[in-house]
Parts: sequence; structure tokens; C-alpha cells
Amino acid sequence: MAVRRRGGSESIAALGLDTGGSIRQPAAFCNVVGLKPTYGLVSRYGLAAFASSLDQIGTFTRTVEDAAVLLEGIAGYDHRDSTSFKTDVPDYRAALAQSKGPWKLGVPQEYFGTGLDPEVGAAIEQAIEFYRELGCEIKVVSLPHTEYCLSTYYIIATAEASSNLARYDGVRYTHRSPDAKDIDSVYFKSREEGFGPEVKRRIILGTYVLSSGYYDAYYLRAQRVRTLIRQDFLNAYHEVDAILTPTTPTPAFIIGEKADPLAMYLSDIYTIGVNLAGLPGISVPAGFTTAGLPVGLQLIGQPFQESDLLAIAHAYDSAHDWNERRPEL
Amino acid sequence: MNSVTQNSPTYEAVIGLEVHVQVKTKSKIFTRVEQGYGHPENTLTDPVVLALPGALPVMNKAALDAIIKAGLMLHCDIADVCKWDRKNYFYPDSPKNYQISQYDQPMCLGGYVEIELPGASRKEMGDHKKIPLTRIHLEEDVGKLNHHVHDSLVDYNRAGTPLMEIVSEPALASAEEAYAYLTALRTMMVYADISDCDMEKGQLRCDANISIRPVGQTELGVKVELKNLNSISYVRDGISHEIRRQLGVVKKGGTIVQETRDYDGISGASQSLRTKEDAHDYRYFPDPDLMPVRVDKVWKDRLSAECPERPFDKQRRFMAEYNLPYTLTSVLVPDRLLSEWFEAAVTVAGAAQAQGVGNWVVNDLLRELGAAGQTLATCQVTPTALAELVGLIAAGTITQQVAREVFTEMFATGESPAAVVERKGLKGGTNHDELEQWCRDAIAGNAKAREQFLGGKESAINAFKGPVMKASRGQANPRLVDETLRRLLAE
Repeated sequence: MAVRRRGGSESIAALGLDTGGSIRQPAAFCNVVGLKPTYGLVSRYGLAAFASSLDQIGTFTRTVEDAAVLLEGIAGYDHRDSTSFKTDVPDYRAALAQSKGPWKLGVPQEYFGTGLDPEVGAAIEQAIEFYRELGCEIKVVSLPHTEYCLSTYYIIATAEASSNLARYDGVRYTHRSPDAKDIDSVYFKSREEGFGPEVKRRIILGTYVLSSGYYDAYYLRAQRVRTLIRQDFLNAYHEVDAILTPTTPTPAFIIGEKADPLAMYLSDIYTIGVNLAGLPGISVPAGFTTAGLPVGLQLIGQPFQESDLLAIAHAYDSAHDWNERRPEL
Repeated sequence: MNSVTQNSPTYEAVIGLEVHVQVKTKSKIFTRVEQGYGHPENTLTDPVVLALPGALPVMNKAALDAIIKAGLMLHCDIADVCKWDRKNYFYPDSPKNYQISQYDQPMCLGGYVEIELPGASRKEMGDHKKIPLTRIHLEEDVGKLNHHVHDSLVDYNRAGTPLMEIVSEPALASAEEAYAYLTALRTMMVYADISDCDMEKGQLRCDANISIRPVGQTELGVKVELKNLNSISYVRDGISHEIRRQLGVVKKGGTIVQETRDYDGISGASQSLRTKEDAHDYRYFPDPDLMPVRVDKVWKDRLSAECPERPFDKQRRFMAEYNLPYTLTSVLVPDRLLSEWFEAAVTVAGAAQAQGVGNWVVNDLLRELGAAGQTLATCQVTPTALAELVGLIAAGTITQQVAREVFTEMFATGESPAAVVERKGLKGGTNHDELEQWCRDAIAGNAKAREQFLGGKESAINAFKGPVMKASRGQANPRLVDETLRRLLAE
């Protein structure tokens, strides 16, 4: 999603799909605001599904205020999506002014360990300091199942994807191999030619974890862990209004730098827990590294409490002008 | 045929049936497109049916109502939550390449189908048996492949039609029992308005799992699945054929291979489709696009109240309450509307007239309907009118023979029997003077018969009845004619 290029904004806003962080992570890398709403707030009807229980439509904007405006436009119940939630859509923009804090913010200790780039860590520390000066109470909280997020995510997401992507078979639409001679070769050749290596990798992984004899060990267990991950967040919300983390462990990497898929998956480590727990999360520009690469601040809210989340993010965003700066390319 | 005898040892057959029944809802199971049969190809479709990217399923509650009613009719335990799973396999008739179905939590568990086996004769009720069910679950039907010389084309009209899979325990012992099972099941589904069960339209489809084992052995033999049994007769014939085939294999010292076979009802032969090695791994998992739906007691109670009396229960009641012979009930009861029509007439006529009403319905009403190519829905005769007609006969106002004529008029015009009798002046048997004159004329006209009768030949009296009935144009009451003749002959 090309949101920002040298010379200024291409557009005011854009919509995206966030399954494991695909709005918040690129937003952090590109110095824009990225919002993933609560699962069920925005209809998925019309969205080509990847992982149905994780997929959520969200927004890319320059400011949090713009995100509030756009979210109000896309949120709300849709009878064509059974996972859509029946809830009233508030005036999110008005809520930015109404909700003034001070808030209790949780800092999960598991998100600040090894693997976190020191310059990213320093930027986030400054953001924490900002909220502290605003009068917010900062509490260290624990999300003890964080270490299982990545494996849980890659089981559930690939399982669902292997099934969701089955419809791209060349029978009614998408690429059909010119070499296909019968129904089996329509399937095998068309899908072999049509899908890229990462998609194939995920389909194979997802097919494996759902296979007879492996289902209980992988898929079923992952679903149970997923419940524990969500419970971690809900427990933390007994003490705090929102959770504050870096969006990514490192700034943007060079294209082709991460040849190993596992290294690539690790860059989602701070965002996927939010999808597994179905919570709203937002990435806000929070400064630059010495190399001039943008850093994203992630705020994670409570289910369907986007008004509070946006107000908390807006307090930081409106007091900083990171979004006015252009990364040096 | 509870056991199949071979020279030795004696073998018995064990049969389980998987029956698919299309549910008669207005729209499809996960979208608002209507369902139907015989429409031009691919006209009953939308993005959900065609599985276009971005389309999502939304459950049709009417389909859930239907399976719950089916479960209640068949004495099943009804689940408290309706949960959906994906059954993953690639085939062009399945547009998503997975089928939304129910795997580990079917809507209905247990229960049974009461069946009736053939009696010693048509006039006698046969033995009844309860065939236990394993489960009933709900799923979406798939499309249809039409094979041509160079290619195959897919018609998605059928895709997404709500479909119930009713699975029996391996508890049927013969082809006859399987036949009785399907007949009873079909009657039940039609009764509860769940499905029309027209096998020609694919609304009821049946696969049979068949094995044989030596009598006395408790474990099941290797099963063969028989597919494409397109009529209830084909089910019976196919199963008979398969039992004979398996006995033949064993007799020659061979072993039964676990496989799926295709039965051709026309040629009466079967051939292997696939063996166990080709079995699919369907990779079932809960469908993340559909939320589980809670089915509470209020919901179940509402549907329970909508369920009609079960056919066999009604038949037993008709025999006990109205003293109807088995033969009458076996015509009246399988057709719910007919049985209700009958009972409405009996309510007016009184239970004492039930058999008379039943005879009129089964003989005359059905004959006239058949001849006119009509159904009860378009029938002009009301139950009340028939009850009145039976009342006129019982009161001796008209004879049975006159009543037939009256009924024909009622059927054609929708008039009440009293109106027909009045209009056509059919009130016979009440003008005693006229009848007496006809009788005197008849006796005077046949001196020989008179002599014979007075000489003790009882049957000679019949010789006078013909002329009397002829003179009355068939309207005279035979009982009254007989009495009058005897009185006059005794003078």
C-alpha cells in the first residue's frame, strides 16, 4: 500500500486489511497513522478473505483525527456479515475532544525485551514520558502468553487461508493454466502458476495443521492458546485503559533483506496479538531513528472502545508534528 | 428376509442408510437467492452461491427450524447450539471448494425411525420396528456437473440448497427394511412440511452401507457403500443385489473389499467407483464466517408445537378411536391432507359414521379426484358436505346408489347434498304409496316367482326387486322395497 511518497501525500486516506498487522506495520514504516478496529466493527463483506477470524478492515490516514472521521464512515453492523457486531457507531471525531484523560496506560513488559531495536525503544520511552507529563498513570503490565502469539497466529491464519484461498481454482475465475487438460490439472497447474511462493507456503502449512491426526495438536491447541492471549489483554484492562507498545521491533528493513520467511514473520511480533485478541489497535508516528527511518507507537484499546483509543492516540498525535516530516530517501 | 442363507454358514446382512433430504425453504441456506428445480442453468445464483471473493454466508433460520422439526419428529436430542464447520475438498460442483456442514456437533443426535414391514396380507398390519438414528446434520447442497463429449459444465442452481443428512445406525437387516425405512422417513418429512421428498428432483437421495457377517458374529463385516440409488425401489433392488454380490464373493472364498460402488437401477448392476485408499481427508474446522447460534427452549417449544401428529401414531389412533379397518387407514393416513380432510368430515358426521366417511373418501372421493385430475386443494366437496351426505344415507333419506349420483353432482358443482337431492328430486323411498304400487305391479307381473317364494324359495323375492328399482329409477330404498314386497306377498 503506497500511502506516502517523496514529495508529499498521494492521498488523504486509504483503507487496508489488517490480519496480523498489515495496516499498523506499514503505517509505522511510512510515518502515517494506521488503525485496525475491533474485530466485527467493520463489515468484511466484499473483502477477499485471507484469515476470516483475524481479517479486519481499517484505515491509513495522516492524522488520528482523520482516522476518526473515516472510521465513522466504515463502521457499523452489516447483515451480510455474520461476524459483524450490532453496536451503535458513535461520533468518533467528537469523542476526541470529549475524552481528555488522564488515562491509565499499561506497558507490557513482554514487548520490551530482546529483539527490540534500541532506537525504536528510545522513541517509545519518549512517548511514555509524554503521557506521564500529561498526567497519565503508567503501569507495567504482563501479557504472559505473548511468546505464543507468533506460532498461534501462523497456525490459525494459515489454516483459514488454506481454505479461503481454495476458491481460486481457475474454474470460474482467476488464472487457468493453458496446459490444463482435465479437472486435476486445472487445479494443480493453475494454482501452481497463479500463486506466489509465500502464499503457497502458507497454504501448505495451513493444510498440514488441519490434517487428520494433526488437528488436535495444532489447530485445536492454537485456538485454546488464542483464548488465553485474549484473556491476558482483558485481565490487563482491569488495571489500565489502554496498552502502549512499539508497533514494530525494528524500523523499516531494506527490500530483500529478510530472505528467511521466519525473520520476516518476527517483524509482526507486536501486532499479531491484537488480531488474535480481536482488539482495536492504532499505530501513530512517534519519531525517527538516526538513519531517518520512522518509528511507530502502538496503542491497543478495549473491545469496541475505539472512542477512547482514538482520544488517547489523538492526545499524542496532535501534540507532535512527526507526520509533517518526510523521511529522507 | 432377516437372514441370508448360504449352504453354510448362515450369513446376515447389516445395512445403514445415509439419506439426504433437501429442505423446502424459500431461499437458499446461506443467502437470499430462491431455491428451486428445473430453472435455466445458473440463474439461481448470486455472489454467495458462486463463491465470489468477498462474499460471506448468512444463515437462513428457516433451514434451522426445519432440521429441528425433523429431529423432533424423529425423537432426536436437539443440540443447544448450531455450529458450522467447513468440509474441505476440491470438486467443481462445490464453488468454494469447501462445503459448509456440521461435523462434531450435529444439530440432532440419536432418535429413531419407526417402520412398518409388510403384513401377512394387504389387509393386515405388518410388524413395526424402531430403526435407531446416529445423527442428523444440516449442510449446503452442491451444484451439478453436466458432462458433454468434450467438456463438463457446471450448473450452480442447486448449490446452497439446504440439505439434511440423516444417518441411521447399521440396524437394518434387509432390503425390505430399507424400503420401509425410506417410505416411513419420506412420509414423516412430507407430513411436517420439511421437504416434498421428490426423488426424481433429487429432494431425497440415499446412499447405503452394506455388509454381511455370519449369524452370531457381533462385529460388523467390511462395508461397501452403494451410491446413486435414485428411487426407493432402486434402493431395495440395489441392496438386494449387493447382498447377493457379497455372498457370491464369500462363497467363492474371496474377501469383501471396502469400497464405494455405483448402482445402475436400469441394468441392475453395480461397479466400483473408488476403494478405501482414495478416501478424502476433509480437514474439517469450525467455519470462522458463521457464529454459533444458540437454540433455546422457547425456540424448540415453538417448533415442537408446529410438529404434526406422527403418521403411525395417527394410524393407530384412527383404528382405535374410529374403529377403522387397517386397509382404510393405510390409504388415509400417509397423505396428511387426506387424513385431515377425513377427520374434519368425521367431526361433523360423528364417530359412529367414521367408517362410512372413510369409505366415501377412499373410494369415491379419490376416484373422482383421480378422474378429474384434481387434488384436495381444488376439490369443491367440503368435509362438511360429505358428512351431510353420509347423514342422509344413515337417515334413510336416500339410498347408497342415489348418494353416488348425488356425490358426482356435488363434486362437479360444489353444491350441498341437500340441494342436489332437492334440485333433482331424488328423495326416494318416502312416497310409500308409489312404492307399494310398483311392488304390486312387480308381483302381479311374475306369478311364477310368487309361487316359488310362497313355496319356500326365499331367493325368488329378488325377481321382483329389479322391476321395482327400474320403476323408481334406482331411487327406491332397497331395505324398504324388501319389506314392502314381503308384506304384500304375505297378504
